[in-house]
Amino acid sequence: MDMKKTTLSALRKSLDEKQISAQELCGECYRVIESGEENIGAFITLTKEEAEKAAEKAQTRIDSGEADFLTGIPLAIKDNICTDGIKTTCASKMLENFIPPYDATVIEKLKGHDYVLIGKTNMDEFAMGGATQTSYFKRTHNPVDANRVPGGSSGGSAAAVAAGFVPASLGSDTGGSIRQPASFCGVTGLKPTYGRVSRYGLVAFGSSLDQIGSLANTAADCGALLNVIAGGDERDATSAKLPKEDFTGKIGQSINGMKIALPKEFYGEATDAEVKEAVMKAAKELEALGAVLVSCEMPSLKYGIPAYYLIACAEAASNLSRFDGIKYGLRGEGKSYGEMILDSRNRGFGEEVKRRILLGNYALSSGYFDAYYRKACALRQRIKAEYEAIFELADVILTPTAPTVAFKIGSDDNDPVKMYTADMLTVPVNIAGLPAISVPCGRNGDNMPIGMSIVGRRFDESTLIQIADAYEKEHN
Amino acid sequence: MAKIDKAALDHIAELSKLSFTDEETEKMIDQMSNIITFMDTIREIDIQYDDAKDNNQIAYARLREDKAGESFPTEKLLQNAHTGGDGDCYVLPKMME
Repeated sequence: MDMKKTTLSALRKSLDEKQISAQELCGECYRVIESGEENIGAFITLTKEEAEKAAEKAQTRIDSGEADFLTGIPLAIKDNICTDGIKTTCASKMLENFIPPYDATVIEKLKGHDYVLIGKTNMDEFAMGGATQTSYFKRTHNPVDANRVPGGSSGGSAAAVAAGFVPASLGSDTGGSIRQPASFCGVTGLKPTYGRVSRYGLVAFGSSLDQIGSLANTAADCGALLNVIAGGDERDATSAKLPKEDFTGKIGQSINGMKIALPKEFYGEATDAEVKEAVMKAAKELEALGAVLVSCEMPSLKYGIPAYYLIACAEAASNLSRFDGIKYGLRGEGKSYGEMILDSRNRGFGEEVKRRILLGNYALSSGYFDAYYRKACALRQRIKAEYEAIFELADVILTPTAPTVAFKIGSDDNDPVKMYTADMLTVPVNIAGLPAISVPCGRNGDNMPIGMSIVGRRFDESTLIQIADAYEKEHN
Repeated sequence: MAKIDKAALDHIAELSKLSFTDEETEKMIDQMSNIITFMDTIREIDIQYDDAKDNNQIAYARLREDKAGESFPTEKLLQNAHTGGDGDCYVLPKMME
């Protein structure tokens, strides 16, 4: 079975029709992992023993005729989503041995279906990075070209799907961390609307930006996974209490007359010519399906990166202050309470995490708060308003997901500013709390995947999946 | 001119409960100066934050009832802690002599 070409609905059918058992499917995942993981490094923890037990339980449920959509389906989970009894490290030395005492809400929901957890995936430390190179444990390599990065921070989750280790995975997206690795690895990645999925049990980075989402081989699979993980949660006050919805419900409906906006700033000099060409070609394909292309502007895009980094780092500085080595995490040494905390944090955090904590505290500190943090919040309001103006003209927005294809490992390691600017096309979506899906739309001259992002109105994931699915069917 | 000098870095490091060796300090001053220079691009736009637009979206009427629920088992909460072999408490260095 080639997991790279398999959809979740095809697997569901195979399991229900007894063409394959849950145990065989689980075994197939580990067989592929054993042959390829050494070159990819997608996982921090593999959970084979637990997976075999989960597969057995799932098969009993299938045999009783009571299978749900994900019963017996193998999935990988980013290592910043808490799993009861299974290490959740955030790819940090700080949490190297941390075993959560509870499940994240999304994990409870997956367990309700009797899914099979294959392993916890590698990521940038505390989700701070765009290449999965800041992990304390290992670098992840891109399955398309192992000399290149898989993107990040959910690089392990994207690589696991692209390598055919699992048919789908969960990641988290604070500034593009699902969409950009999906684009770099040639898979589909959905960042839902802020509030669509409970963040309870997701280790916090930027609490007003973080959102859990799905990575898979198709838009329909991303939507089907969202069907399971979405929903309000009383343990997350920012989650939205909305009626249950089938996010795949509009698949197959015509996109004739749908208006697709192309903001010119996303197609500027900073975006590679081959990337622009591929996305414009995709826009023309959507036009041929009946969509109407609309020109528009987003003048504040150039302020998106500083606004994002100031807000995200300010929130991270606050969120990461909990890591003091007292109740959990790396325990440092010292003769006094203060020395122990300092040593815990000095030794537990990597360089990039320290830089972001420093930037966050700088922006929040006396004398700088108005000039940086408050100004960034003002820009957030401006960017939201510019999106609202575009949605007066169009139903969705189409942009390149990233300005480039996956770059070579090591090329951006020593230049934080260069690394930050690579996120310029994804962060505005998080700033505005909107849903977006990255869909593969071709390859460049080096045969590296290019991704396009379809951005929608708040809580309109169904339309994104409808358009992405129409494109996939037409294009493939 | 560097945006951040040693005194400024020491100050934010203290706020961040972090410390750096001399060699790390030099590198961090350089990197943080570059980062803050980049962040300064937002100074060129004249824009004010509108308090009235934000921070009013939490539906307080829908907050859950404040009632006691089941607690996590103590042994599960302490599985990641340094208990000093004492079982049910966190062990810390002395806070005062």
